[in-house]
Amino acid sequence: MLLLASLLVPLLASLGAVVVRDVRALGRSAVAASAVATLGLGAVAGSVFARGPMWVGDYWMVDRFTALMIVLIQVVWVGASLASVRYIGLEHEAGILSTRKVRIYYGLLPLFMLAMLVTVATDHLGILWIALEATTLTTTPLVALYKKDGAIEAAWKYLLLCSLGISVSLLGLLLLAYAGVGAGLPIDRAFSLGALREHAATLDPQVVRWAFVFLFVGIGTKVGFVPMHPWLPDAHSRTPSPISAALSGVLLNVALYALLRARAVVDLALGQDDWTSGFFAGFGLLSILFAAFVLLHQRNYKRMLAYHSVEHMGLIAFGLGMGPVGAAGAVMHMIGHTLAKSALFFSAGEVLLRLHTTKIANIKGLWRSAPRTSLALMLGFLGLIGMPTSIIFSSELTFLMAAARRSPGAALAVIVGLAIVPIGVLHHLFSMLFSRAPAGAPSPEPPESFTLTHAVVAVELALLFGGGVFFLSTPGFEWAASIARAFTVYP
Amino acid sequence: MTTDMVSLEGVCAGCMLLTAFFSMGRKRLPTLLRHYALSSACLAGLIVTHAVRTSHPAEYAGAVATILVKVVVIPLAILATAHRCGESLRLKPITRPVVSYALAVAAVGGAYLMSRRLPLEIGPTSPVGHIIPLWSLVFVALALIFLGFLMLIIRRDLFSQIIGFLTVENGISAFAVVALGGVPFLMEMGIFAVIGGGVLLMAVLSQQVHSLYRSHDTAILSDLID
Repeated sequence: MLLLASLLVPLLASLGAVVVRDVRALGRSAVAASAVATLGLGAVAGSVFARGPMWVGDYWMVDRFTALMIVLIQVVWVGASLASVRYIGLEHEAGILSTRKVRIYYGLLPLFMLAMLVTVATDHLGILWIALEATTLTTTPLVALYKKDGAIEAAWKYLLLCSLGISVSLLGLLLLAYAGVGAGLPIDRAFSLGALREHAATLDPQVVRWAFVFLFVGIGTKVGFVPMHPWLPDAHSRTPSPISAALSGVLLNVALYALLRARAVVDLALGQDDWTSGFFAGFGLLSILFAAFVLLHQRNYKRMLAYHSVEHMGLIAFGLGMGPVGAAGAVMHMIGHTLAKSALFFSAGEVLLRLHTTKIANIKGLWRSAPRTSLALMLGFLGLIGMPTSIIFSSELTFLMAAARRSPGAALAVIVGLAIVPIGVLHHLFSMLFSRAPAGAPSPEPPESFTLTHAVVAVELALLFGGGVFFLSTPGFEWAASIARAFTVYP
Repeated sequence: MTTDMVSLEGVCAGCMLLTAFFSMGRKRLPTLLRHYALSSACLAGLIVTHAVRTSHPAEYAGAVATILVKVVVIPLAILATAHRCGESLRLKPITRPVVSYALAVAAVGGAYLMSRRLPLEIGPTSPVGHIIPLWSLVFVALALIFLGFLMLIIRRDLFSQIIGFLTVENGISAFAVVALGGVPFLMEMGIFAVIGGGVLLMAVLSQQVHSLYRSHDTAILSDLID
């Protein structure tokens, strides 16, 4: 019951935005809602980690994997709410966002979080599909919020491509249900992931294979696998930075979660994971290499972060194609990606608030004018590219160890990709932080102070670099492997 | 009774396919919307024939919702948006009608090949108990999906892209009806809600695109290309 009661919190918070008109009060109520939901959902996740999976009625199920996703969503929700108080408040003061738009923002932010929470907490394929599409519908107005500089174009591409992808995935879900009905399940039960897993051995393997193809292409569009990714850099770079953090940091993971839930049924039906692993490894490798080369010539730092998400989703997919060790690495990488990417988008928001530009070429000498944000960017990017002891270092090491055993050629290709990425990223980063401003250029005033956003980023970076040490230890690896067992067929 | 229903099922499926096919060469938005509305009405007919044959009266609600949303509300909403923008209702496909139809034939051919490869049971052995071969109904559903995608590719204006998306969605709905005999009621209503919400958002965005660029041509949406 605590789970369902906690899911009501974002709904109430959204309704609150209809009533409340004061921008500060809206910000405070958003923070309060995220905190209350975190208390409830944190208790649910803690109970699952301590005692095992929890069922609420026929439609809701929380296991260790779900609990992890709930924790990641909550971390980003609380962070985004805190960062929004400053970011949206300042944009409102500057006249960039009207009060009406601020209310739209605070009305949709909790609905977006609710849609993600429902996606991960439901065991019903129909509810999962509706909630996943709802994540697109609740964020499209946020992508279009500024109504200028390509925001409408980004929103159009985002809505059309993601809706099409999700529609194609519906065909896959229907085929899975068809296989369930063929195995003797009543139509209501044929949409239950639990029931499908129980009857997996009697599902028609051919139907299940076709279902997976549609699911992979459809949900893969939402995950941002190349070549279904074109909406991603546009949408993630045009929306307010706290929303960029949520879109990039956690929504991609949530979409991947949905795909992995369906994959578990497919693997059980086929009696092995080699067939689905091929899809993950192939599309993963393509995404890593494509994003690595695009990152070399980025001119916009928010787009650079967005393309980095494509590379990260590629890395996770690659790990998922490399057996049980790779799957454990994927769990680590999901955590590291959420922490690093949200911290960097929050920091990018600070840069944007200060300098009013997203163009790398227009930013010079940031280290002098904004040392706190610069330090956050520096540490965030170093963590993102896998510097020890970040979680991403641990996960990438795990991927390479798994790939070296299973597919050395693929491991080599990943190493090439991982070697190219830092070249592009560090070149752009150093250019922004350390290159000299032209003589006579005005320095932004006032000097930078420590803000709430910096506090959020500091906590996330501490978790990013501290967590890496944990995951390098045997208990840390075992913990990640125990979560991976919830969505894999390995014993 | 059953034979009549089977005939009606075939007529509805065939009519859905034909209306979607002939919309490919149409240039005027109202004509395109009429084709879509007729195709959706045939989908409602398909749902009704299933409801009668399988004695599931709950499915009538799905048929009513289909007529209300897809035959009435969505076409009227799109037309109203177009009128509000004040632009010509004549659309600009990037291919000539002959080429469009040729590509549509190829899309339908692809759907035929795929439907023969899909390992779905045929005839009375299928889970839903069809009498006419299930693959032929699945072929219609897949053809609609392929035609919808084709429309998205060969049409550059926003309204055609919305109709292309809706055609894909009609194909998936048809697949749900013929392969599963429909989906649980609440799930069906949820799907209607998100599809309706999506189309509403698309209509709003198309208005905003027009107010920014004075055009509905998606070729102008190229600020964000790397």
